[in-house]
Amino acid sequence: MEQVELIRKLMALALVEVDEARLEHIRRDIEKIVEMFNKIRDLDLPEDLEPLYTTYFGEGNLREDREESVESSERWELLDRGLESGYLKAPRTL
Amino acid sequence: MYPPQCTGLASISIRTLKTRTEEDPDFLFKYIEEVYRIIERHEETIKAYITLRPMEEVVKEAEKLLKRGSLGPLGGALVAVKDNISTKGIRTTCGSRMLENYVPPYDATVIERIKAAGGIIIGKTNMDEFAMGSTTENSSFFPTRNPWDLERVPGGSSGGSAAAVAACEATVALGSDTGGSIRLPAAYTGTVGLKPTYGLVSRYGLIAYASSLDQIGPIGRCVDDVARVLSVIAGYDPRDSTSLKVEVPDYAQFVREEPLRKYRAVVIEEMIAEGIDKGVVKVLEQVVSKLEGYDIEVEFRSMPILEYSLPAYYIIAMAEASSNLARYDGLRYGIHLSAEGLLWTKAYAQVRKIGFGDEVKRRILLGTYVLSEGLYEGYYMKAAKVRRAIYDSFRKLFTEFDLAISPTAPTLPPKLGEVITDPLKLYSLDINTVPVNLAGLPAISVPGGMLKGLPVGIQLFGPPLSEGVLLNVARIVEVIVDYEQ
Amino acid sequence: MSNKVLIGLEVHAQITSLRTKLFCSCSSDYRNRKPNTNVCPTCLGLPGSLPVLNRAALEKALALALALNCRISEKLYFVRKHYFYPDLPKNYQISQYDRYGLIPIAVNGSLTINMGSYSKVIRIRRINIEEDTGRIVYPEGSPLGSTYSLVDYNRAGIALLEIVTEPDFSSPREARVFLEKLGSILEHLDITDTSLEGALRADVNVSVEGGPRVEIKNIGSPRELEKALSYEITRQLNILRSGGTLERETRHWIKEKGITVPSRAKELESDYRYFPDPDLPPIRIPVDLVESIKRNLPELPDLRARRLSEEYGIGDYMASVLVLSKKLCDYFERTVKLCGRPKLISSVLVNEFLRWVDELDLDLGEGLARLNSERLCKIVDYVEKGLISVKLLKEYVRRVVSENVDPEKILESGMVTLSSVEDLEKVVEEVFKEYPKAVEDARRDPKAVNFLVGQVMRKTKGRADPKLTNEIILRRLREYESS
Repeated sequence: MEQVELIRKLMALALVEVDEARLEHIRRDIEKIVEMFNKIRDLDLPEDLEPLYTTYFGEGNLREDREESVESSERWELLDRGLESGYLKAPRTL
Repeated sequence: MYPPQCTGLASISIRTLKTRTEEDPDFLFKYIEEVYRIIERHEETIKAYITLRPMEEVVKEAEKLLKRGSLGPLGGALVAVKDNISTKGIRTTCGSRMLENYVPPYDATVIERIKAAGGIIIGKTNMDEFAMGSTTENSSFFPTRNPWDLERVPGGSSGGSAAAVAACEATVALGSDTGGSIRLPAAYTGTVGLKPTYGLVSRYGLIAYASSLDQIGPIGRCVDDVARVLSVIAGYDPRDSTSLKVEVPDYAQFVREEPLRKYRAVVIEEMIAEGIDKGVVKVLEQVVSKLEGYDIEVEFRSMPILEYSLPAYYIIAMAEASSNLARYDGLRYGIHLSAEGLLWTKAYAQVRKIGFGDEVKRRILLGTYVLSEGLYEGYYMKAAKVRRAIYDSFRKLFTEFDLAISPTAPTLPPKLGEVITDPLKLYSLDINTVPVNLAGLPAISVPGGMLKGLPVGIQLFGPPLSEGVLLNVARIVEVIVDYEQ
Repeated sequence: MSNKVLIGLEVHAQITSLRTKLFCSCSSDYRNRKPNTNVCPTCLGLPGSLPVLNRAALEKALALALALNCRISEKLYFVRKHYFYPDLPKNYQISQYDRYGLIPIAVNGSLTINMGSYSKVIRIRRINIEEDTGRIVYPEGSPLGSTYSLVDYNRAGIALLEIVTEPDFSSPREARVFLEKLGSILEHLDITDTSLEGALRADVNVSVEGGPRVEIKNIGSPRELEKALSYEITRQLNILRSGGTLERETRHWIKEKGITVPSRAKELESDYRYFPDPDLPPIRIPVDLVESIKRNLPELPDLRARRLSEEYGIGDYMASVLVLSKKLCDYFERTVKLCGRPKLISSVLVNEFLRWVDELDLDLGEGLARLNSERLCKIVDYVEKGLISVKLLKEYVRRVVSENVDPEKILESGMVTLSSVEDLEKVVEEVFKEYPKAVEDARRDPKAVNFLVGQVMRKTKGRADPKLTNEIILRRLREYESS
């Protein structure tokens, strides 16, 4: 059941959990899809073929180091959850 | 041709709306009433919208627009917006429980431009959760139905946008396309959908699925509408580092019923091969033979590397998705759970367990897999190399040809429930659309005819920034097909 | 045991001289603001937000790369580094990487440190541009006992430069001098104001006897670095000597207690799933930009040290210590312009002032504010007028730095050199009475006179003129002889 172990590891890494009841179902789907992926993994490609990570072909967008103030009322909208003295409440870290 | 829901005034184009309203401002209100009448009658079955603005609100905006003095290029058009595009003050859910009550504090760039150009946002449309899907059945809320046949899917992931436009519940719509999510629903609903060159339309405000593939694009009932919306939303945005600094022409000028020059077109054999329904191929062949009457030469070529486009696409898309969706932990926005006493990893896992649907979870897990230490080179990097090979092949192809033609979808729109249980079956719907995203090329799906009472879409795609050529040929196809009906 | 020690540094320097954050236009001035008021969709990672690189950040990074003799990459690549934590808004950090064909902005540089009796070249492995995280505070003041945490995102997205060295240090002192010099370079380049809280942070890797690597996090100053390393090396050696084993781990430096403790977070288990950030496509770094920055580099510490040494005749070592802080050598040049005496002033600063600032655990800037140029010149003036000896000058410096008191006040309180022969003779008499044995010794052995001189100094609280005291004592001894 090595695959199930793998899926549990991925769930822990991605913090995405699936019910035990659905685990087998998901495992089967994932297995099929990985099989499709393996077509790529097992493909022979020329050594000097460079990977392509983006099809953007411009010279680059850089931003001037100039402050742009967001309307102060908008700022507060940005985090309208439970704030404690302005801080956002978050779970334990220890 | 429109599906049965769409009648009378509600089916007009932007040009007609603008002209008639300029003559008589009251016309805009008549039009709005007509659209809402259709919505009242049919939206309950079609379910294209997640959030629909009340008519009073839309009327108020129309009044404000008229006071401005100029109607702008969109002339009061009612724009349905896919629910992964941020609209300030209007709930934006991405079709997901995770963002069920998320109200963005800012407008996407395209929304700012739509509003400035005289467009009125009528509502937010249904979609596959986080744009992951090809039938809109993966929406966490409900499926949308194809107006042409309510037992069938409208396509996805921009299914709500396409259905709304087809049924005349809006003038035009905005969708997003990562692997075919504008073109496929356009094909299934008999509408026109365009995915721009990567970088032509700003992604600022588009809730990301796969950042190197996503683009926002228009869906309309005619090529002219699509061209007008594209002119409004395209162009450099300093807030998006992948935005191209290019001159944006007035795309309406390309919407002509004769070719603006001699075009050479190509049909790639792999795109009409065994996986494609014979009836669909026949429709394509008929269109192609008519095009030759317009002095558009059509040749056939083979591109074997396309066999690997689906797996390469899904590796890349899922990897980027797993990264883009890492931020959804319920802390700053989205589902709010009491985290008192819980360790952050447990709290996050809880939120992500109930916030994400199965398809999204599957893709995140697979995306995590292909990026993980030790596997990166064999999967993600390899897929990127295949991407390079596809990109280079197209580059070479388009030195010889001006555009390529293919069926948009391999089949007629499936019935609800037909493909959703088998992921590989679902993914195969994208077979002709994903190569375009991998190469960052522009593409348009235009209705090519009917088959068994259902629409068949024809895909035209070309080299980067060739939207003008595509719109021109799409208009010609539109004329051909109209003539046939 | 050979006591072989390997130390490597990972320094994070905020680019405090920028006006805005790294990828958005929020202000870079995040300190002393109400929490979560210096944020925008991009640095909060709101759905749909996108990063756009600050041009000035690139220029600063290039300047540092040039100053550290690095090889500069042709293209600028960014990656995403994934992990979940409440202070990380996107649950990934935009950073740089050196595998999979990707390369940081600069690699393979060097920085030479002057240790006095020797110099050493420290190799720089790489420089990364990356974004800072938000800050977490705890309702109970510490993670223990708090059932939740509190987050402030004002700092999220601030521009950071990460500088990683090879494990070339062989002592805590070397590491400290390196960090001081790096800080000085950052100040001279107008990249970082190191006096700002949190602007310069260091993590350090240390292993002894070829054993496993221990990482220590949370070190906020060169002084702390030396202390932490000394403690940790001792701790590790003690374990080894008592027959125990060490394991690879991450520890935290607790400044208040002066110890390192094991970190609870499972730092080593992370698979960060690095991949190129698709929102930031690679861009070419223009060669003429690099050339122009190179041409316009300001005077850097090494060159400045050489100039100080030549211009003021203070010697290489003095100069090399002064340039370890821009504030300090700016102060030096300012003060010398005011009242000259460069050799004296440099000596005072290096041998006295720095020592006191260290011992009192004072911030350097605060120390220089107390011993400002006017005050130091006044003290020098007292020496020139013969009111105080050089020995007393040191006492003055100590008091001004520790008590922040004006030199005039010290003078008024009577701390002047005691040079009245009458008064000195009285004290010498007292000392002769108290220490007859010492007097006997001194009669036979001239070196033992120093003890007596010392006692006179002690009795006069250092005010006695040492030369005169010496003379008087010798005279008295001779008188003894003859009597």
